[in-house]
Amino acid sequence: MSAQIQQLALVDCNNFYVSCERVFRPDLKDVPVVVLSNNDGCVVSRSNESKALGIKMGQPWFECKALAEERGILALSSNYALYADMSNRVMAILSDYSPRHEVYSIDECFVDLTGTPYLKRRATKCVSVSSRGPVFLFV
Amino acid sequence: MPNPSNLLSHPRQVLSAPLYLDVCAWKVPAGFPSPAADHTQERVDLNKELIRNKDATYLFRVKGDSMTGAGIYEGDTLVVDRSVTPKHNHIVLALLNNEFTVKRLYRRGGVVKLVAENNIYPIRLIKEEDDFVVWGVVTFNLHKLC
Repeated sequence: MSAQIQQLALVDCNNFYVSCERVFRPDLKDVPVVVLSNNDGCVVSRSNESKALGIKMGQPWFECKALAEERGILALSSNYALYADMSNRVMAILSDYSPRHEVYSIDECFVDLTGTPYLKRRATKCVSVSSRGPVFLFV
Repeated sequence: MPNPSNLLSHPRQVLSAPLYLDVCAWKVPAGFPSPAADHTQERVDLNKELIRNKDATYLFRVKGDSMTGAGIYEGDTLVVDRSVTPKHNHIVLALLNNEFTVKRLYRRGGVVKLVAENNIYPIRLIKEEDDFVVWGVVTFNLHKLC
């Protein structure tokens, strides 16, 4: 028996909280959006548009207010029930790709693709081709 | 423009806990009660009946009257499955220029239309400049009768 090289995928959802909000708020597409931590304290998730405007991860919201008003950045209070539900869906879909997977955080997951048909070339390639499709489509 | 009265809001979380209901395997007697009624065995899980792919299914509350011809009324709850490939004649939850709308999908010969099931609403032809995507396919309508 030949030893097989273990090949792992690390799946990480883009701007997870903002992406969850956008699933049910299509009007937020192309709008600079941030999601704030409990009690609207700090920025915990940024859309690409907000990142481009210079909003930093973890930045206190009061520091961003002037810029937000000027550039029309929309801030949302966090809705953890929604994020947890969407996370569970993502993880359930990812678990179809391998019998061995480990949820690493609300939006990250290691998937052991060793010996699965999803490994065509390099692992990085596989993640973007195999996992993104269905996760993006369903969730 | 999509009909604003048909706009849906507030996603509903899909419960995954089984809810078992008794099913009678015999006909309901109009006369003498069945002695088998005390020995019900078969059970139905409505989640299993209504949800094919729970990770891709969402519930939406209907607003508006554009689909009454299909038996979809204001206040009904639609079961929407995002993993179903939309086909001609499916009732779909679509995003038209970043707004939700429920309509019947017409897709024939390169022509895509959103068709309301109510004569007072015109057929909406999807043009190239429209931002159009089918969000999910409506698989069931939960309509309260009493």
